Amino acid sequence: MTDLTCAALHDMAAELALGMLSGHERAEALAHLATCPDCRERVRELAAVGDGLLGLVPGVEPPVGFEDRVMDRLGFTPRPAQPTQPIEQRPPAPAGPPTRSTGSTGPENRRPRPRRRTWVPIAVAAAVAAVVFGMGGWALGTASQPVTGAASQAAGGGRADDDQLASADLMSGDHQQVGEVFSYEGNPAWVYMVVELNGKTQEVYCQLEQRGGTVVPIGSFTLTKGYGHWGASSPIDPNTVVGARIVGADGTVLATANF
Amino acid sequence: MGIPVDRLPDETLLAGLATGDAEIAVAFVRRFQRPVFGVAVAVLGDTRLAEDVAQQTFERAWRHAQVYDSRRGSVRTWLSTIAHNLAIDVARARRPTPVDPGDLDALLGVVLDTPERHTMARESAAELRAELAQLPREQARAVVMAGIYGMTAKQIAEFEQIPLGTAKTRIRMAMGKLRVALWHLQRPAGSTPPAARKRADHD
Repeated sequence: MTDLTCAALHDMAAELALGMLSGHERAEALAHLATCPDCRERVRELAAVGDGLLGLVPGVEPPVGFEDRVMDRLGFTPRPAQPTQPIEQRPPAPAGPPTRSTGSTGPENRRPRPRRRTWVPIAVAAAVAAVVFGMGGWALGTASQPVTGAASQAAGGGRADDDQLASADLMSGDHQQVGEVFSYEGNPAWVYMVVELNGKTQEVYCQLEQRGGTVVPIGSFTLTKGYGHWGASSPIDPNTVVGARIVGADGTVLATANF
Repeated sequence: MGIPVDRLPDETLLAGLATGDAEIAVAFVRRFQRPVFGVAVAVLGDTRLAEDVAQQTFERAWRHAQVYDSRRGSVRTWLSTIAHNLAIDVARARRPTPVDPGDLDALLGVVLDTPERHTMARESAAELRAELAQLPREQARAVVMAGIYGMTAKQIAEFEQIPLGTAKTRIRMAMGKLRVALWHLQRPAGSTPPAARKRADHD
């Protein structure tokens, strides 16, 4: 039973429908609604207004790679095996990717800070194999041997399978290798990169260069103490991509790669 | 063969989530990621927090697809509500002031935008938008602060520097007008409108 009258309920109905009431007020109101179908209907109509308000909020495109991160979260792609041994000793085709398109700073994606000269080829190959396996798992529907082969080639450095995967060194302005970029030319097309720059923690932006000089931004990620790995689906025809650039927040080109 | 997954009705796609079919899941996320992320980022004003909320929203939808009831609203509405509730929880945990004044004005500008710009919008959304635009500005602000930003009447009163009772009145009046407008849109001609029912039934 409740002492709340219909008139009193009407006064608070809008706030009830919008979830604004305190616990005590809400309990009183709900007790009244349990015995009053008319007030229940009123609150239902007001709640529909609340739902309608949310429908007026404009849709916004989420960050690049969102769809894939959700898929990972739902378990549709293999989760990364937590490294229990140094990355240099792990086989080049791991059980799964860190995530195919997550920035490098998520705890479950962060790798031990590497020693560049010894780890880059193995780590990149592992990551690329993981990326490609990941796509084969749900987006492409298959994980074919040629793809594995491409990853293995990447492990040895140099150019991977021409039909599927192109790789290029990321070079800094002073001609030092600071990472590697992979462009997967399947459907969907992907770009993946590993970067170790100047030790700074900063947001950087990845741009792809197309034949003819067009530059297309595809996303941003964070370098933690200069290191990061990141991947994203490519919005442009991979056959037209001739290079990639890593750009700082102030527009400075930090590194370039030419496929 | 069958209908391509990306052309399946919303409800079918949602039901398909429970099957664990990756292709359906991708299509589902792809179809609803913009409205879900839009709600999250509108409430939170922070892309990273909004992404986490949007991810949680899809995870909840996936886990609880079987509780969705189409009689209570569209799939989009259901997802938006999940995203909204999660975002409000995050906002309340993180910020003493739930909304930046600039963000409020920007969002008001969008939700009060003229219907001509939204020809693709559903009729009820266009009607609601038009009705919202007809409200006195202070009532529209109050209802957006309450209904989208999840602010309490006390927070609205402090934000607008008005008495608590005035904030409650603005919310109540605005919601009442919008309710009547939506009712006229959704009910057949000849039905008793809410205002008349209010007097006729149990007041």
